[in-house]
Amino acid sequence: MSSSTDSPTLTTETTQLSPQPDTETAKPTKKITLKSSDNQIFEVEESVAMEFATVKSFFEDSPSTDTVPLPNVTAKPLSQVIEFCKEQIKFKANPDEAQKKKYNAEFVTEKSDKDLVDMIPVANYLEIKDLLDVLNQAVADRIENKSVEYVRSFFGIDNDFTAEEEAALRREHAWAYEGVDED
Amino acid sequence: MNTMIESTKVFWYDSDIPDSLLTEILIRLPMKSIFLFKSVSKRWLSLISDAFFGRYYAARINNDPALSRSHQPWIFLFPYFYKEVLPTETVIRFPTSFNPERFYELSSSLFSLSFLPVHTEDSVLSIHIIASSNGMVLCCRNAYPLTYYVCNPITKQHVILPTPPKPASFCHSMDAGIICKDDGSYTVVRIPNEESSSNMLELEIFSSETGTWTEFNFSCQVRNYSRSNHKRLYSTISYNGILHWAADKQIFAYDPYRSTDQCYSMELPKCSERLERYSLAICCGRLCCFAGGKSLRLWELTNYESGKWNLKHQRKLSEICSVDARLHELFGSDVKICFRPLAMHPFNWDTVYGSCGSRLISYNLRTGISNLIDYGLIPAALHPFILPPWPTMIPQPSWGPDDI
Repeated sequence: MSSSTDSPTLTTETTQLSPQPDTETAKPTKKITLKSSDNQIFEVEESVAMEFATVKSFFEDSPSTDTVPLPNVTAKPLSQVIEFCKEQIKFKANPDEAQKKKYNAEFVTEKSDKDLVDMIPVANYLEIKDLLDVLNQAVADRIENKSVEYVRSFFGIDNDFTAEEEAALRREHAWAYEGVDED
Repeated sequence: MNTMIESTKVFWYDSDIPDSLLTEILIRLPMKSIFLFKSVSKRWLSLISDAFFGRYYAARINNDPALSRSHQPWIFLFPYFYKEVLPTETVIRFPTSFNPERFYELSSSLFSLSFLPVHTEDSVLSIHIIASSNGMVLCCRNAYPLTYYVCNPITKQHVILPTPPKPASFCHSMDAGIICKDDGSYTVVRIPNEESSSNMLELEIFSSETGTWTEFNFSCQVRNYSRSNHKRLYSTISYNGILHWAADKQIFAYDPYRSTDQCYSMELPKCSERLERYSLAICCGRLCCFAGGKSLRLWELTNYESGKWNLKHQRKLSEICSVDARLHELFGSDVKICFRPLAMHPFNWDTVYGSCGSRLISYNLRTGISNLIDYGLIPAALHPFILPPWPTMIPQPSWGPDDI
């Protein structure tokens, strides 16, 4: 099971604005409301929210809160992080290392470079170690053996070296320039 | 509401990935990519150049047996280094990935010492590789006056050492060794291998920290300290920051970081059979000793302090066999097999390398099976060069250039 990630709007798995009563089951699961920096509201099951160590400790400190503000997280990476954590909950209940590995690989494969880079600070801020590992490895795999120019455009980094400085570095590390992949 | 979010955003959010996270991404890359990415930006340059980064990177590899196996490829360096004698099977391979299946091959032409400032009239044979420690190579221009170089063949850094105090016409009249620490500081030791009539062992020691050579005389318990009986250049081994070499009846050890004016000795492993050519090596991080005669024996030093040796392998040379047709003529007949052990596999206790006439072969001490590695001019010594997880950078020399 994997949801579409191309849609820029919130997926149907998250509800907007005020909490809705759970009509599907007699015993409603507790929902937690997360608010992104761009004022989007996400309602997630408590078990998913507890995957976020930051949110978990927020609730432990102030249990009466109904909405958790995430002032440094925007909606898009947050929705992707929620998507990842929902799957991890299933693997927690039903451990299957092979399936988990497969899902993690698919999760990063279908993301754009920017999506991956944007999710890293979010996974770090929310302290989701598994996701951070998956993302770091995915980014490393994408830039491995690539050129300097490729990496700059990957991360959106401006070249702040002068031509002379860059030429000096190139001379100093000539061995590292051999056999680099075509962009 | 918006203003509140904006202000906390400044407090919390750095639009760049913070250094700690960028470090976590970069340490998953092969060394070669990381050095290339120093050129991405000033921030990346300073992050990667920081001593912490190299230590963190090396620790990650060293703490993981699988990673350290795949990320410390090695080759044998032949004393006379020119491309033709470097067997293709033993070419060092740069890992490009933490997946051991994917290697970028560093070709033998890339792994050259051509960056050394040799005289134009010198032939390729003029550079003699003497020893290697921690990714650094000690070599010598084999023409009068002897010039010693310490270099890193990967980063192509090099320094020329000041002229040693004792004159010598050839590399062969002196043995030498190098001990290199992680911070790039190193000690070079010159050991006489000519017959000495006195009981004194006269060493010349160069320290990169002082930039000078110092002469030390040590009294030997053995009369007529001599290494010349075997008529060959010995390998010196740097183990735990201590230089070791085998002489006729014992092993000598010199520890420049403990006391500069003492030299220790250790017994060679005891053996009932008369063996020749006791040599030292490092296998799987342990000091070992091997010697050959009618049989081949390999000992591991199990207790350094008490000098306790444990016989690891013992195999009759007559049991040697091979599936390689090119070796059948050697082993199939009744001809006496003459195998001279030269080196150990640095990570495999079963494999020893040596020469059989004009062939360089590997010999598995467990199975007795031998394989052909190379043909032709087989040197009298082989120096395993292991790619360190992070390159050792040679510090700027504190001494001025020598006029040669």
